[in-house]
Amino acid sequence: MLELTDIQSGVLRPRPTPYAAKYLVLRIDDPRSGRQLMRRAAEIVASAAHPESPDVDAWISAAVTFSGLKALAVPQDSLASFPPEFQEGMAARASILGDTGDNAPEHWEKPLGTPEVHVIFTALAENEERLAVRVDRARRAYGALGGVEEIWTLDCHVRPGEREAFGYRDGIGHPAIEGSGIPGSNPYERPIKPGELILGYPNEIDIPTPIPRPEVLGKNGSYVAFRKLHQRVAAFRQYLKANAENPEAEELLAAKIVGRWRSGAPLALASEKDDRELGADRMRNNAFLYYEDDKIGYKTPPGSHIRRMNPRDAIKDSGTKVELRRMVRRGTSYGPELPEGVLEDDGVERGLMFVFIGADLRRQFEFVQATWLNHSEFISGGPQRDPVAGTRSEPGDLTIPKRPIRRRLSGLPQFVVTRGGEYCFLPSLRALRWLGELQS
Amino acid sequence: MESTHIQNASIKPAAMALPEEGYFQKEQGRYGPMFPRTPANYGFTVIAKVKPGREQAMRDYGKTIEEAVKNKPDVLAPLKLHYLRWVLFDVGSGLHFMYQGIFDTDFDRYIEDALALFNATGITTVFTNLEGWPEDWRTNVQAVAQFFHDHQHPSFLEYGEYPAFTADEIKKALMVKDAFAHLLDYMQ
Repeated sequence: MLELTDIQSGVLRPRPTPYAAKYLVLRIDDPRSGRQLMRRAAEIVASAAHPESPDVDAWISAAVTFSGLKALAVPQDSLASFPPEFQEGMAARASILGDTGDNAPEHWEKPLGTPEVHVIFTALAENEERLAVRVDRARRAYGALGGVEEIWTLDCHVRPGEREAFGYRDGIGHPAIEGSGIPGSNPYERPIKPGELILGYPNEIDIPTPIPRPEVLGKNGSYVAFRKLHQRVAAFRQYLKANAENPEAEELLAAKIVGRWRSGAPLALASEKDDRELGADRMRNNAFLYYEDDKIGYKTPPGSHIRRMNPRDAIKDSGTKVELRRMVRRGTSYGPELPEGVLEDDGVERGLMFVFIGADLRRQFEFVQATWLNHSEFISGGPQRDPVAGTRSEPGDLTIPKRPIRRRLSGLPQFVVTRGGEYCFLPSLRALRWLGELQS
Repeated sequence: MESTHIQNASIKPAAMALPEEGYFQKEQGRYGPMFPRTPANYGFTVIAKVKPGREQAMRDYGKTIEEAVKNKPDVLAPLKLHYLRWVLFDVGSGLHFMYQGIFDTDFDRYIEDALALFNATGITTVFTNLEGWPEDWRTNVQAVAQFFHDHQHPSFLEYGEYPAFTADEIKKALMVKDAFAHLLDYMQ
């Protein structure tokens, strides 16, 4: 039985659509103020228990980095009980995550990736007005506190047509979690065990995920990977144009790269032409598998973005348990539109703030990033990387299965650049209070 | 045909000498340092002492694995193995067991898949004949992972005649060759 009253609402609840979001990064200079911040956070963070509460359309999540736990003066034996990847932080894991070259932490937007990032508040709402109320509430929690400094913020908002910067509908897929009461988006995938998302519950493998000590701190918590990803929209448009004879062929190419038409309609269900109605239909736009219907990938290329991020049943012959790699993924867009039809880069920052939530950063987020996104051995494709989201220092390829012979797309530049990121712990509400009551 | 030399530049034998630690740059995995991919792919050499009087039990287990693979050829598929070698030898301080595997995946990254498989197939039970094997292995799989890591002996030299090809790629290439041979037969 999930202790929903103790779990942060943002862990289980899909983000609203449309949405507005704000990320607030704080540094704790005085542990006593930091603890007061934790106590206040416990009051403003909604639990997952009341989906019908006034918080249903607006909520705040509070996440703490390993540096943050140290700044709160969490006891050493407790710090040591956190997994090594979390202790090291995302910047230190750059080589595993493919954050090299342009993506390397030395180029990240400061303070991301530095020990100054301690607490990240995420405020999400259905619209800007409700968001402003939430953000005010969060800021009141630390505004008057000396010893806690707001050092970075990011505003995100839904784009026209609920599209991300490359023009694709996003926010489509999320897994069902056993016992959460929140349905998944794919009726053909069984709900995953809650221990894949929340610490202290049965998981998919009967190997208990280690829980930070003491139990009050670890239980009902999750980990979250934040990633700010810049999108090179002009480069993406140029590439499509240069590799397709006409606008229709461009749209098909765009669909082959991602696995969905820009409308959101999956190639798995609309392989020949776009189906806007399907794209917008939440009951149908994620209801598919690959194995029976499209094992080779004539419809959805095995190397396409969505088939990498969640191969569903496509790789079951290899014995890989995809259930061990599921996580909650949510993206929110920042920056202005690049006006339609513009092919020249305007030098403006735009992209996605992505969050990946799960119980095991190494087994889930890092595995998917290293093994599925930035490599292709799992689909016998050698070192090919994700055509749209892969990090790369030299041009890449995408194999598009096609009869009578496949098409090999080459010269893919890097379209998405890592601007920064953090590994955080999402404590339970009890754990926030426990952190708030620590004694020096 | 003028030459039978392999023309493909990517199929070039390679050897790699490794530092004593078994890695060039320390990359911390969950259970200890992670070992790099070499021309002989990933792999491990686990050496542990056999409990007195358990030699026959160990040897008998070879037959069990043989049967398991015969009955279900893909039973070990999740391990992405090329080869497995199980050896028993006495180094003077008693009988030791060496488990040497060459596989395509980083063990640390896939350890959960491997352990789930070990438990599901019952392979794990053979290890109860080894000294240092955790008593509570049925419930404490962390300790099992730690056992493998603690008993791993990294290579100081690895060689590959065809470096870094995965078992999947090799099987695919052989299937293509087979299909091509059939095609040629039909054309007679």
